[in-house]
Amino acid sequence: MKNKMMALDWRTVKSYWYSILLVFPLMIVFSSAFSLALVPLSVYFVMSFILNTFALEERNSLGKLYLTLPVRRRDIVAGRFRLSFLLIGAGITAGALLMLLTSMFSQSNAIDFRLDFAVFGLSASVLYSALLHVLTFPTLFWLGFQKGRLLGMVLPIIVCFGGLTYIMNSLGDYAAELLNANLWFLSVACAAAALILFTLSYVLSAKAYERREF
Amino acid sequence: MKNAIEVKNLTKHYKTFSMESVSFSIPEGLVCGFIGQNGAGKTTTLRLILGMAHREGGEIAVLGRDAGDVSVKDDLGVLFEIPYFQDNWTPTDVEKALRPFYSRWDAAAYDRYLTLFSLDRRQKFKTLSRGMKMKLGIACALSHDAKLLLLDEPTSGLDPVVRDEILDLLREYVSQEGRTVFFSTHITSDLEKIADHITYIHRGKIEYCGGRDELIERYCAVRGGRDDLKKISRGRILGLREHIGGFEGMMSVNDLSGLPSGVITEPVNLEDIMVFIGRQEANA
Repeated sequence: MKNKMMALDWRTVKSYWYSILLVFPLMIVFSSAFSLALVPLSVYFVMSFILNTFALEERNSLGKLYLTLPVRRRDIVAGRFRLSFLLIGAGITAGALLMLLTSMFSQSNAIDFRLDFAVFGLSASVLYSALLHVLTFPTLFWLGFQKGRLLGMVLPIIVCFGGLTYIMNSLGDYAAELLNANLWFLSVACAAAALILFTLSYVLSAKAYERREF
Repeated sequence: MKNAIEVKNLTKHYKTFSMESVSFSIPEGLVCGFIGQNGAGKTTTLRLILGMAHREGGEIAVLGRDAGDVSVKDDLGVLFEIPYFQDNWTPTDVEKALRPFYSRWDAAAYDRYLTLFSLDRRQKFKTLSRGMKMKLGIACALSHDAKLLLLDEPTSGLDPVVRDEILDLLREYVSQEGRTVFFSTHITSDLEKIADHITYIHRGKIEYCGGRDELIERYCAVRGGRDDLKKISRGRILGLREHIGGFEGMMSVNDLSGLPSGVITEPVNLEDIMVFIGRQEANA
């Protein structure tokens, strides 16, 4: 049932299918200036796309349709998580490939490819998507898109960018040194933190959706 | 006779509305009307049956299983005042979206209903008229061999021709063995055409649950002059309204004996019953 719900969610955003293709040209445009930010950018675009499932569900009262189908509420939540994992995975892969291509063909040769740095970039991006997830999904499953969008969409931006700025300012010049020395450790730590955040996001979302009334 | 729906001591409270220990049962194989004024609790009851709202107490059994068992929904066809489909879906998209969920989805039947209703497979849902949207909803509800149709005001806002077509379909559906329709509406004339059984809810309480004819035969309308009213105990008249010429109201047929000769009694219909009982509450 979870895969069926994932497919139903994908069909719900049918009118936005083409918009996801815009992510790639946009990333190519960004690639010349922000090649290092390609993966986080693609995650951000993909997450914005996924939020359409909540918006369209509410606009068309699809929550009521879902509850007439022979599915459990937690399958509805799990289906949306699967779709989001799939799309985030595709976004990260596309971002990473573009970053690699940029580094290979960039005339300025801005990036020297380093495996540890690439792995850290990927795991940090996964952590970033997990952070967006845990701040967005439970709120939207709990309140719906209209009531929850301020809390579920503005809060993640404040937390992510505010938190990152605070950390970088606190560490100062020490940040780059710290990163360089512990890249593998930090990669594992990011991946582990992401796993915890995704699990937390799912548990909170399932609980919130279980209590919701339509 | 088996029951398609059994509700026992159902309780739900909202800030401005409460359902306290509601109990009723819907027999299998009949078209059952669920009537009541706006805000009486019809939609809330259906939402509780479907698990869209959470009950605070009581039990609901649907087709012999607990309503919380999701496998029950494989046997349910549900239609609200408007079908809930994505605006940009076409009837083909609707089929692709719903078919995987139902173990007995009948693509040929769906196709047959689309043809019967002259629905274009490529037309977007948002561009369909209200009547066509309802027909698409009915096509879906009837295409997966549902044993029970739960319909919430399905004919509300439709023109008489479309309403009649829908009623014909329901009549045909229920003619097959083991099929039941539970049909909430405040358009009582529709129920007079097809319903065998009536459940009447008023302010969150079940006032009646039984055969349609028994309900209609239980009451009669009465009217008479001012002098006649003086000779009748007012408490016996439901929804009493006095006017210059006299009075009108509704009485239980058991209370008719001893009425003054000038009082005229007439049969009532479902609408009269709802109006007089509603007026009785307002008078109280």
